[in-house]
Amino acid sequence: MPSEERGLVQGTLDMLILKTLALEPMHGYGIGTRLTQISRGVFNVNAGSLFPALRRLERDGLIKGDWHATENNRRARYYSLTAPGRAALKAQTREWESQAGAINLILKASPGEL
Amino acid sequence: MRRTRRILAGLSALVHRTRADSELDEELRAYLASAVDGKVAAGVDREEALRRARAEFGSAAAAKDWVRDVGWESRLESVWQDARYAVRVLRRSPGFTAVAVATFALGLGTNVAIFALSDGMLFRPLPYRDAQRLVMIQGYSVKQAQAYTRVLRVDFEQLQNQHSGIEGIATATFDTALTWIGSDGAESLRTSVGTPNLLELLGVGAHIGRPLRPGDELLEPQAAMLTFDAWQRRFGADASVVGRTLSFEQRRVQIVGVLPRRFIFPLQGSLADGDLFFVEPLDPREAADPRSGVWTPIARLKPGVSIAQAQTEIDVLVGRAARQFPSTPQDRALRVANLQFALFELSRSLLWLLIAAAGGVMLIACVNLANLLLARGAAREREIGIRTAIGASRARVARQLLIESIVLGLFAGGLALVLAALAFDALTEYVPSRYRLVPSGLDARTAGFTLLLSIGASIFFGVFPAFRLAKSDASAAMRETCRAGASRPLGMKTGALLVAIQVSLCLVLLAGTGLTANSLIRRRTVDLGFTHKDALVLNFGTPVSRYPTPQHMFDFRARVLEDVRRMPGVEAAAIDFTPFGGAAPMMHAVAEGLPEATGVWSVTRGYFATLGVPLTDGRDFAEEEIRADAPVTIVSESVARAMWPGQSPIGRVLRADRLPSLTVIGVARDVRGGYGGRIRPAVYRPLARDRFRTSTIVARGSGDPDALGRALRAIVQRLDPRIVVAPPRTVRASLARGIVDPQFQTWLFALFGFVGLLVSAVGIYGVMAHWVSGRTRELGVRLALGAEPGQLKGFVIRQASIPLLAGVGVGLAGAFLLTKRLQSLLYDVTPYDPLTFVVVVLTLLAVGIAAAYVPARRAARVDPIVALRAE
Repeated sequence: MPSEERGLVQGTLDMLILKTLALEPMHGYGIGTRLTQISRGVFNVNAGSLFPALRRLERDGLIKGDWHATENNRRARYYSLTAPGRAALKAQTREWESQAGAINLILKASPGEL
Repeated sequence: MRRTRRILAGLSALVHRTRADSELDEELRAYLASAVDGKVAAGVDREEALRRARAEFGSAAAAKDWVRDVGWESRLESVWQDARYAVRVLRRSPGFTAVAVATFALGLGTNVAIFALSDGMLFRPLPYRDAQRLVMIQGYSVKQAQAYTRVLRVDFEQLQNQHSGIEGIATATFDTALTWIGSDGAESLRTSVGTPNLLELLGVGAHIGRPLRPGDELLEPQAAMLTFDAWQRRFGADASVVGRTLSFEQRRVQIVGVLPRRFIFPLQGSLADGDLFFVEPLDPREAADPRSGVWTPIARLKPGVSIAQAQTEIDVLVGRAARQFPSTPQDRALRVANLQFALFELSRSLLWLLIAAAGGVMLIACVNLANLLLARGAAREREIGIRTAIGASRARVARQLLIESIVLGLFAGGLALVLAALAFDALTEYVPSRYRLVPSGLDARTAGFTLLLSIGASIFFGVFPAFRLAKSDASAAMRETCRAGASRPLGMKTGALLVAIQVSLCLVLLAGTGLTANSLIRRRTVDLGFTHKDALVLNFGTPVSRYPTPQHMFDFRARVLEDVRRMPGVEAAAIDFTPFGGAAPMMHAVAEGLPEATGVWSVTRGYFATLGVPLTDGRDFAEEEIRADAPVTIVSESVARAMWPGQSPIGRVLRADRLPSLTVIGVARDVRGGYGGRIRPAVYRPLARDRFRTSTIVARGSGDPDALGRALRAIVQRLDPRIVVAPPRTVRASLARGIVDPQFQTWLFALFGFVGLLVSAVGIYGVMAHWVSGRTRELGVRLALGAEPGQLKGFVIRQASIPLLAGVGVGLAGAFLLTKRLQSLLYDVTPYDPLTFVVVVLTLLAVGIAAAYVPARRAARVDPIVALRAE
């Protein structure tokens, strides 16, 4: 599995995809560009990582894909969140926030506290 | 939940593989198109946008692979690909494949055959409902420390009537033969008779029709079941036999059903051999006699009752019965044993011995496979090197190699099943009947065992060569194979070790073969004490209905003898009981000074001449002495020596318990009851009155024994067509039946030894051939420097003899430790018989050197120019 995307922890990509899809159904390329846009270019997800992640999420029933026409009138597979997907996103976000908060606390700790 | 979803998704992906693939293709194309669109929208010109998008996208094929790898099914697919690749690789080197598969299959096949033989007796539950709750209750004398085949009727009834841990108890009653008068003469059907509850107790149904149950003993005509075998053999598996009434000489029976195919009577000996089964209650006339007995009973324990609990309870019950009936033996006890354990008690240790030996064969075959894989691996280093160089991971290469050995193992497993099936068909008639008690053969269980064993063994012995090879340094391998002939002795050290292991195992097996074969030869060449082994033995029964008294029987047999003797060149005589085939005499003579187990046999005049037993002193019985039951006797030499050492026994009087005082009129040579049997001290008496319902006549002519046999049978049937005559058999055939067990064991050990030797020879050949081909250059240099081809041959053979001799050394030590276990199978040979060991070691060395000789000759033929130019 390629891991070119800088610092993207295993499993984090899945959460980010879920978050992106929470707003509206999107196709693969759309998800990739949206992630780049929102992260202001920090995360650059290529097809080699994106599609295995999508397949994994779909397998687990967190998202589902349907064929629709794009704005440019091409056929593309649009992914949308399922109910378990929504629940998983909520759980993962909570988990992430608590972990990130804890890590922040440690990183910002003064020498005395350590 | 998530796991099931994954499994289902994987399965559906497998089923709809092409559709899933094309969808993914389309999705990736759409992605690329959108990327281009996006860049064009951002102002890049279309061509440049396409180029950039492609660069960002990377390899579409790789992306597809990664997506596929998400699911578990992709691993399955790649294993399948590896397996197909393995088949292609194996097909490219048919020589290696054939040798590897064939040798592995021989090892597997041996084990499959032994498994099929022992499964029913050792591992598979008996074909009864809840068989683990069934027990055998054996009679036992505490004082004599001896088991009996019978149990007192009073004890049986105690167990039957008391509420205890026993749910039910049943037994067999005597087997009898029923006479069937068919179109080609009278023949007899054997019957097994059980108490009415026997089938119910065992929980056995019927193949067709219905099983016998309590109450059936009251039906008229009597209800009976056919065994599956008899139904097939005698009634052509005709279902309409159910409901038919069959009229035998003795009684009429109505067939109500056929016993299941896998049914066996849970009884030992001839009681289990019936064609017909019916039920009868225990004889009510015997109930009054507290000393009357029943055959070893079978009981079912209540659920949750252990054998130990049942034993305690039964001890109490037997004690009570003993006090209640003081005339019964007070030292008796009953032993409760698991039914399967008790039934196969006699075969168990031998079966485990055979399994151990077969395991040795398996180990040799496995080591051989590892050896062949290693040697071949060396030749494949280049291929592996290239695969590693273009990015295959070590794990992946190792997996590929492992799958190759599994594919080999599966081919070998298939072949092994075929071999075992052939061997089974060929061997069936040589398998002693006690191993046939449980219908064995090749079935789904055997096939499953073969599959497990072949996969397991090929993984176990493929892992080491696979990882060793996968670890080999790619660039070094490629460099080296470019310098063809550079000798890196990869595998030689390991190969030599493996050969040594093979040779040592093989030596242990061959020691077993040698010792059992030596015993068999000694059995067969033992002096039996008589010369005419082609004499015929004729048995016929004289039914009580038409020959009510001993005198009637005597007269009938006398008429038969007279007619037989009237044939030109035929000598004949009668004896009360066939002394061949290991049966003990019905009566023993007991007197001060008489050898132990001196048997009493009654014979007519001419018996000694017919069999060719020399009379060393005195004379044969006279006809008048036979008729008059004169108080005379002929004793065997051992009796004469024991009673009257150094004197002529003629005219002396022999006094023994339960015999009248007998005047000795002759001395006969000692006779053995069978090959390898003990000498039978004998006291011969005139056969004036028949004690048994079966008459035995021995006859000898000058011509073909088969023709004489037919003539004998015809004589009896002409005199009385309603008499059943057993097919006449030569003494030689009767003797052969007495050694089926040792013969069978010897054949099996011969098979083990042969397979072990063959496979080891292949192993030695493989390692030496590989070693020689790895040293082509060195050998070429030696030749160029003036070495004689003969010297090179010697050099190679010396190399081979190192592991060979080491293996022989270790093997000898192992054999000395293990052959003790064979003691009970041996006859007149110690487990350390020097001659046997010398022959075994020489055979092994000869085969080993012969196997090394082929590559050695190739080494001597190396063309130095070619060898060096290859550089």
